[in-house]
Amino acid sequence: MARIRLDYRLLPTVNRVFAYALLALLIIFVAFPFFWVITASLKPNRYIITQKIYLFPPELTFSHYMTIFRYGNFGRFFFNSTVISLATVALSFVVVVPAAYAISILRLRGGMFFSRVILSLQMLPGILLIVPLYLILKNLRLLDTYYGLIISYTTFTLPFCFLLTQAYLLTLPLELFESAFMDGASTRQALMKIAIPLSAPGLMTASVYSFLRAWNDFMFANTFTTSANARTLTVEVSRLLGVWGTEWGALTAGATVTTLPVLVLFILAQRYIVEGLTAGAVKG
Amino acid sequence: MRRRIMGRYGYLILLIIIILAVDLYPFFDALRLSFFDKNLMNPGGDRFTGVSNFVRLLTKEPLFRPALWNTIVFTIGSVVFEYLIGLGAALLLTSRYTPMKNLFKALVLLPWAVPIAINSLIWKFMLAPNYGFVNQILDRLGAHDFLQMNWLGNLSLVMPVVIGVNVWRSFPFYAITLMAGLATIPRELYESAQVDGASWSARFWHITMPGIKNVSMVVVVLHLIWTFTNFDVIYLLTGGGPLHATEVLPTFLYQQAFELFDMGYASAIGLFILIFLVVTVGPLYFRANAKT
Amino acid sequence: MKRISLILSVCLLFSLAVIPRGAQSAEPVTLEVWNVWDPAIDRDGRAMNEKFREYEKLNPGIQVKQNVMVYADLKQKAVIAGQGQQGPDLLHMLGEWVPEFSRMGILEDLTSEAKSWSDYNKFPQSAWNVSTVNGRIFGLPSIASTRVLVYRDDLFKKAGISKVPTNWQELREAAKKLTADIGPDGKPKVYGFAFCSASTAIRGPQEFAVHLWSTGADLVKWVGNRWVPGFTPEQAAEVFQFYSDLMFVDKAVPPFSIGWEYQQLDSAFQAGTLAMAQDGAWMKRRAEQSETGQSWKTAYYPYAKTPATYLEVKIEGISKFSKHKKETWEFMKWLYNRDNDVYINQTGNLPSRLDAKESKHWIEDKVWRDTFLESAAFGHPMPPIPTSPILKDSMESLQEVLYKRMSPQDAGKDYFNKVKTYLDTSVNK
Repeated sequence: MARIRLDYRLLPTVNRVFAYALLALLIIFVAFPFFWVITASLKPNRYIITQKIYLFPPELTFSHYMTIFRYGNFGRFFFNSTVISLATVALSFVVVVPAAYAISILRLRGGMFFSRVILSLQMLPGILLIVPLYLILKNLRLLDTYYGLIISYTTFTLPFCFLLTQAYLLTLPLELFESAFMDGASTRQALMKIAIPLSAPGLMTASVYSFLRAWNDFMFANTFTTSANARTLTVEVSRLLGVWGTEWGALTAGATVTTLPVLVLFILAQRYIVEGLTAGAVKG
Repeated sequence: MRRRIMGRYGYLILLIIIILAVDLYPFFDALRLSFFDKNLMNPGGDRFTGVSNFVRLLTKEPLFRPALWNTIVFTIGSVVFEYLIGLGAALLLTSRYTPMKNLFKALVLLPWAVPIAINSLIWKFMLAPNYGFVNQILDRLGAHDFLQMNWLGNLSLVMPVVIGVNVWRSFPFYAITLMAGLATIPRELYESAQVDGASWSARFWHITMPGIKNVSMVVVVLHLIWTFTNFDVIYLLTGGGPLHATEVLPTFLYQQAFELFDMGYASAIGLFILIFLVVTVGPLYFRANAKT
Repeated sequence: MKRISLILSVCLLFSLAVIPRGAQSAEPVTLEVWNVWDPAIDRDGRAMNEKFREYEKLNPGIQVKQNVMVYADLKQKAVIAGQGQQGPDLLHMLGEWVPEFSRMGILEDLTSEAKSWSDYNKFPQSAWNVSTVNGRIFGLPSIASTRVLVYRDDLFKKAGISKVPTNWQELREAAKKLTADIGPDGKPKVYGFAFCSASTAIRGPQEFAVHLWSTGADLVKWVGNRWVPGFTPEQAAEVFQFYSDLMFVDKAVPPFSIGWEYQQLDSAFQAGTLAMAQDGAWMKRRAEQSETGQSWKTAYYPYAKTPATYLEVKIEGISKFSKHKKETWEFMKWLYNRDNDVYINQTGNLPSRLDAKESKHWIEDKVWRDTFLESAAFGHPMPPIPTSPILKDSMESLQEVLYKRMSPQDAGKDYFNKVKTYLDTSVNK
């Protein structure tokens, strides 16, 4: 008995050191590759293709960034990605929120069935749909346009946004709405003035998640675009890997530019991203 | 209330239209196409060919079994390690010894939140022979043979390497959701177990694991599906690998559809993927969701 | 909160306002050009851009927009766009794509336009042949060049090699001697030779074809009334054996170069880690950017039994779905008139125009001109059928040998069977 007590006193310190060491390892594991790439984008070429390891750039250069913006037309692709992602979020919203409201608050008949259909739709992988979607877009002349991509992205944003919004709305007390209706509020007013404001955190999460999915997508964007018209950053970066096969300076600069909005979004909205993931798994 | 309700079906219209157009119609069209011979190189109509696409896939296609096997290996290998590392990270980040939990939570999410195209660029850069960071470190540590090692070009090592990159990218999802699951376990359970003198491993196996069983199931099942159907990671890292060593069903489908333009055959492959998943993972999916 | 709906509506409105609508009303005619000349890394690319701007000035109302891609993407995008009944106005192509594209119906027939052009005879007939399928012309040959042996003369001198290799045996010996500069890890820093073998390679199959042609064989040949393989399994095996010996017996090829494409090959040469390669006139641009560029020299590419090289002709075509075909043809005639052609082809890629090759710029350049011109005497073009499957298969068979999964003999048989099957099922229908 006495030995155990002794151990318990030492244990916290040992545990603490151990935990700190593991934490450091975890952070290196997760963040070092990014660090390496960002510093590479600031190094002149001779410090990148070399047999020596330079953890920090001995010289700083912004020439790689200039190359990609001036010659690589990166501004255009950044614009494309931004507009497409924002539009996807907006479209998902306009479509999903009223429907989730109708089903959860107004308790329309067949609503639960509808929910389950959407739940199973979430399981439909993009690779299954890519061939028919391509043919549809081709026939509608929507290939290589913003619209084509935005519509395709709804395949994976709609189910998640719907389920999340519905989950939030279901937690709202019905009495709120009932008293509002008794006071003469129309269903639309109840939607705009009560449902949406009260589920704001869930909506934010859904927006951030949709934005990320749209920004990060490669498969659809690569297949459905051919020219610089609608090409997104992710496609451009991977295309560049082929063109400038070994120009790692420019490539890492391009990668950094593509990652920057994600990082910024992160810092501002990490709470929502985390919630989004949790909700996805825990709420089903 | 009734008049309200009738009019309010209109709220669903947009959603229904889009789902029909973008999910259901393509889905059924994919089903239909798999029974036809539609090759974009031969202009002219589609020819109905019954199950010949499937027969060709299952019996005559030399890449079928390797691709199926690779997909299974890739999926199970990824999910197992993602879970283990994710669980470890979750335990670490919820431990009482960890400071600034929110900061680390956000940091850990980094590989997951970044586009896959970027991840593959990062790792192609890190794994490059001669000047890649990994080879340089190994060389410094004395393993000189590895300086020129081409990880992504080595027939036997490429699959483990690709799994490794996928694990790096995906484990944060597990970590975050498992952390949420861990948070739902009441503290009193741990405290009373400690009072009773239970060892750490006993506490782990009898309190922690059962407590996160539901969340674990959901996240594992979701990832089994997502990894099995994942196209981006392998396509961007190896394109199917040297000599099809990392060829998986999704990349094989893509090649048939968009490099050889055989849309009917590609749809048949897609249908096979769906059926395979429904049969193997389907029951787990519905069981996992029924619980919540 | 009202704020959220405000933000959302702003997003929606913003995106709707900003998203370009469909085809604009045709006041400014925009000619869309798809090619590979990247102004970011290429002097000729920049020169071409200057010419675009000049054309715009000369022709107000016309805008020229360029979409730059690598060859592999260019091909895929052209086909995909063609499926959607879309396409650029001016499409740059490799000669070997013309049979496929014309079969798919995505190229405009330019026979009458070409033949009635005053400059028609300034281009060699062999170049026009590459863009001709069944007697109909589908494009203008912009570049006609060959492949040669590019080598580092300074490294040759350092290794004491006085004679430039002319056949495979000499190439192997030279490559072995040139693999040198052993580092502390026991691995050489400079390799004697390298080649492309990526399965999606463009250059790799061309190199392979040159090797095959030099054994006296052909890729395919027309016998009676059908296409058959133009080589025997033994000849293919001889080529695979050559690759295998260079890599495993002579150890003169970098072991990590399996799966290389042209970017890695050319970069390695420029970085000084490679002493010889089968390459083209575009290396002149890299020579100008390299410290060792002055000692880069060219020679006829070594052969097995008979001299052979690849006669590469690049074709500028007009998409069948272009909405401005007349304007594009006028633009093409202007862009490839003698002076402009000379201006945009200075750091590599011999222009196909005979009078452009005689320009002052090229005529004084022994290294980057004469060898190429003279090699044309034994240059082979790609066969006039869709060839991408057999080209891709050649790389797959090569990789089987390089990964030691097949012996060169088995790979030769395997490749022969693949070509025969392809011809029987897809070409000889």
